[in-house]
Formats: sequence, C-alpha cells, structure tokens
Amino acid sequence: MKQSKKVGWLHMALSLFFLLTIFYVLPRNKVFIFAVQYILAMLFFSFLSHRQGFVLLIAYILMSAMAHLIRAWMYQWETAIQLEVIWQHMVMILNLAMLYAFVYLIKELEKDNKNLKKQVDQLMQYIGPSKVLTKQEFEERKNLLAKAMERRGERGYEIYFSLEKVNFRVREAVFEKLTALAMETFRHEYDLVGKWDDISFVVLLQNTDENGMKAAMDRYFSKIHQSMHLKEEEISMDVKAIGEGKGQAVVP
Amino acid sequence: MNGVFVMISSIFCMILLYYSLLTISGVYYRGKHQNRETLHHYPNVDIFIPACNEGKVIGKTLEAVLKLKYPGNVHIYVLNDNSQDNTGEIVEAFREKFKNIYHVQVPAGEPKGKARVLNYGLEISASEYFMVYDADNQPEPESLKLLMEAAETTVNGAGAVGYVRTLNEKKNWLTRMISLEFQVFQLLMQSGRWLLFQTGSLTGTNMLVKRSFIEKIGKYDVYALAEDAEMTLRITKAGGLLPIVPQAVTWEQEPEKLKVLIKQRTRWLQGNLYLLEKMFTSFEYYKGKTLIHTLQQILVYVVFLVFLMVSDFWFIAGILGYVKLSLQMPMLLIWYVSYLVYTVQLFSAQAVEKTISPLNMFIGFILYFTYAQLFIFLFFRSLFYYVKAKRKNTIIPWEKTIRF
Repeated sequence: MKQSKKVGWLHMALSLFFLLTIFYVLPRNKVFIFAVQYILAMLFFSFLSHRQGFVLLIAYILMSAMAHLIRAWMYQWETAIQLEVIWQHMVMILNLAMLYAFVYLIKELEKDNKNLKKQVDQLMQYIGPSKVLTKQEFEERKNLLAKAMERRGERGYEIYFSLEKVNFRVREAVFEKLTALAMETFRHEYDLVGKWDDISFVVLLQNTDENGMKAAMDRYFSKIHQSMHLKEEEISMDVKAIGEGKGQAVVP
Repeated sequence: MNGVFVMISSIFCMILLYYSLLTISGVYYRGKHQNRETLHHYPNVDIFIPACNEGKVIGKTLEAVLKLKYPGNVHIYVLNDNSQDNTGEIVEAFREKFKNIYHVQVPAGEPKGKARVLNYGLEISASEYFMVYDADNQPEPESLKLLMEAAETTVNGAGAVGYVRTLNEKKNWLTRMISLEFQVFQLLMQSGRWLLFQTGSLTGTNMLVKRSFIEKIGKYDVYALAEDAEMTLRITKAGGLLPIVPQAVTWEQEPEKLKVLIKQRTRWLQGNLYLLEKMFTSFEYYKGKTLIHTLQQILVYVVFLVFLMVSDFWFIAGILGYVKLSLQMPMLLIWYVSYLVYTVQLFSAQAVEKTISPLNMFIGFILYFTYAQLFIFLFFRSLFYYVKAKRKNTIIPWEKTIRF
C-alpha cells in the first residue's frame, strides 16, 4: 500500500477509534484522564525522535500495566474490576499505538521519499554498493567519454575480462573480488568499471597510451596475485582501443 | 497453601517487572546510534568455520565471508570435520583461488562436536583475535570491522558479539517463530542486559574473541554442548567483557521442520543443563558479574519452567474446580501482564527490526500459546537424555543440525 494511502486510512481509523473510546468504551469519570494522556502522548511524539517515541510508548504500556497490577494487589480487586481494567488498558494501548504510528508515518513520509529517490538514482547507476556500473550505464558513459576523447585527440582502452574458464563453484566470488580490485586499482575519477554479464566485466581506461594501459594492467594483476591464486590464462581478455586511433588491435 | 501462592505470585510479579525493564533497555540500546571509533590498527583475525557435511551451504558462506570489509589481515580456516559429502571439494575450489582460505582436515576424535573442532582451529592458528561463523552463515560486509571496533574500544574487552538474523524467515510459520525468538531473546534481551549490567553472552556464531583471554582461561570445554555459554562464564569470571553490537549482522539458516528444531534445541538445552549442574555444584559462579549469568541461567531454566508449569497446572485445576482460594488474588491481571510483557517484547523486536507485517503480528499474538509452551516438552526431553547419559556414564552425542 502507498505510504500516503496508509496515512489516510490510519487517520480515519484513529479518529473513529478515538470517538468510540470517548463515547462508548470509557465511563464518564475516566474520559478526562484518558484525554490528558492522549494529548500528552501526541505532544511527546511530535517532539521526540522516532526511537525515543517508541521507547516512551512501550515504557508507558508496560509501566501502566505494572501500576494496575500493584493497585490490584493493594485493593484486592475482584475479577470483574480486573476485567474492566484490562479492557480499558487494551483500548488505551490501541489508541496510543495508532497515534504513534500516525505521527511517525507523517514524519517519515518526506524523509522516506528523499531516501527512496536517492536509492533509485543509485540503483540506476550502480550495481549495489560496489559502485560497479550496469551494462547500460557503462555504455552510456563510454559513448560520452569516447566522443570527448576523440574531440581532444586522446586515446583510451576498453578491456573485457571473461571468467568463463574459472571453476563455476567459485566464479561468483572471483567475480566480486576482481571487480572490487579493479575499483581499487584504476583511477576513480577517470576510469570506469562495468558489469557486462554474469561472467564478464569491462574496464575503460581514459586518456592513456599503450604503455600506460600495460602499466595499469600490471598493477592490477599484481594486486590480484597478492590475494588470489589466479592464473592469467583463466581470465580471457579482449582489449579494444577507443578515442583517437580507435579500432587498432592491441596485444595484451 | 495461600502463603505459598502469594509468595509465588509476588516473585512472578517481580520477574515481570525485571523483564519489562529489560525490554525497555533493550529497545533503547538497539535503536541507539553507535558512534564507533575507527582504529589506528586493525589486528589480524582468524575466522573459523567448523564444517561437517555442509555441501548445501558452505559455498554461499565462503562467498559472504570473502566479502567482509576488514582493514586488517583475515585468514579463513574451514575446519572440515570429516565431511562425507562434497564440502571438501567446494572448499578446495575456493582454497585454490584465494590465498587467505585454508582447508583444514580435523583429525577424527572424541568427543565429537564443535568445541573439539574449534580447539583444533586454535592450535593451528595464531592471530590476535578469532572469529567463529557457523557453516550456514552469511555475514554482512561490515560485521567483522564493527565487532573489532567494539572489542578494542571496550575497557577489558574480551571480544564482541553480533546479531544473528534468520535467512529463511519467510519459509513457513516455524521459521517466522524462530526468527521472532532470536530477535527478542538473542538481541533485545542481550542488548538490555548489556546496557543494564555490562554483560554479554557468546552466541556460538558471529562472535569475536581475543586469543589472549583463551590463553588465560583455557580452550573450549569439549564436553559442553553449549560451548559458547560455557566459555562466556569463564571469560566473565576472568574479568572480560563482551559488548553487544546489534549492527554486526550475520544471516543464518534456521530449522524448517519441527523435528529438526526439536533435535537442535534438545542439544542446546542439554548444554544448558550441563552448565546448571556446574553452577549448582560450585560457588565460583556466584561472584561478580558471573552472578548475573548464573541468575539468568537459573531464572530461565529453573524459575521460569517451574512457574510455567505451576500456571498451567493452576489454570487446568481451576477450570476443573479442584482449586479454590480463600484469598483475593489478581490472577487475571497477573496473567494479562505476563502476556503483555511477552507480546510487547515480540512487537518491539519487530518494530526495531522493521519486520512488522500482518502475518508476523498474528504470529506474535499466538507465540505465547504455541511455541513458548514447546519449552516444557523440550526441557523434559533434554533432561531425560541428560540423566540417561549420566547414569550410563556415556558422552552425550553431538546432533548436527540438518541444513535445507
């Protein structure tokens, strides 16, 4: 259900339940005490943080129940009185819980909207927190970069890595590790790392010549060998030049 | 008769008050924003994963453990306890690729069980800290770092304990009930005890321990089926603190069938009976902070059980008309407050963990009448096997939890 609809329904239920409580559930002499508790709760919930409000709610529920229990011991309440008190306590819990939910749903609405928008933007660009780009986002960015590089007379490289030859049992873990190392090794501001499909990924190196590309790859493989037993023949690589002089075959 | 009943009811009311305070403290601590200090140096950690026939789950566990973001060195030891399935093959595939994974064949021996396997892990490793993950766990990337920061920044920190969440919670009603139980008793109550008394208990998985403490207190007790609880007592006795870190989460698979749950819980309860036996035969467990653990153990496994049975007996006898009290007692309110405290705990846990849904709320309402009552059966089942093993002078066999 949409958050705004939820608030609408809750508002209706809250008002209806409050009226029922005042006019039909509570005896006349307890309406005033209930109203005071209700208003105080509303005030506290408005000022307190979500967490503080929740602690207050459960503390009040539990402590008021304990207070009833102590009074029951002291005045030796009969079963009929106990039943009446339990019923009134349950009605009070429901009222306060609904009030709490209503106040904090409204408070959270704007915050949630902001967060969700931020998350959607992030999801559209990246695969989770790893910051590896999706295939679509990679291609969009690559096209922009390639045009800019051509205009500036620069050269760059697209390097495709395929893990087809890696044991299927560890392929996912190796994929994660290699993309994480690629993110660490290459320049965050200039280069791109994108997921191509489930077993391959691509790295785009901007504004670099063949020697620069080879140096970057050496750095990358040296990092891989520091933490993994991965033979170079297990990773299939395909290198393509982009920007000025694009289409040249490059031997990795 | 009236006097006994008044006494029982008064103690019961005091316990209710204690659990109410524990719940409020737990919710407060759980929701509190923890400002952890970043460390200048992150000590080396050995991760132990005891594995016996874990082919169904070990691959995912290793994938998750490899994703741990930890600034220091991490060595991952899969302690293969004579697996007969494809566990070894899967672990080997990982070991061949990752330099920090070690596949260790644990020599066969007696008594069987996790404690002996972990002790072997301690013998063949040397890092400053060790961490334990069960073979069906999938820790979140930040968990180890958070635990280390808590352990290192707590005065007299002997390690730290994280939070175990249920991976297959939505599978069926049973897994939902187990998940709720973990949210309340493993996290909310632990958080409350940490805030009120500065005591934490090792949970068997997702827990970090400083090796120097083990050198001081000795390795795992191989006869303890609840080896984590047993070690908690010794660490506490030695003055060590185990902070609770709710944000350090691991996801664990829980039993999907009642039969599997009964076997698992029988083992846990037998482990706790072993501890109770120790507690009732030595005064060492009634000093300092150890007293809090001891009282907690006695409260849950003795007082609570007796009360549960007395209340059930009283309820049935009352219905059948065999019991008549001449004293006016607020019986109904006592029952209402007990149910309220229990249910408020469940709903608080759901609210804090953001797992509130109509079905989970319904399960919260019925848990008291269903899952909680299973405890009586489990206790007597465990007691029967425990006494039987004692009389025959045999070692209680380790019953491994079946994975799904």
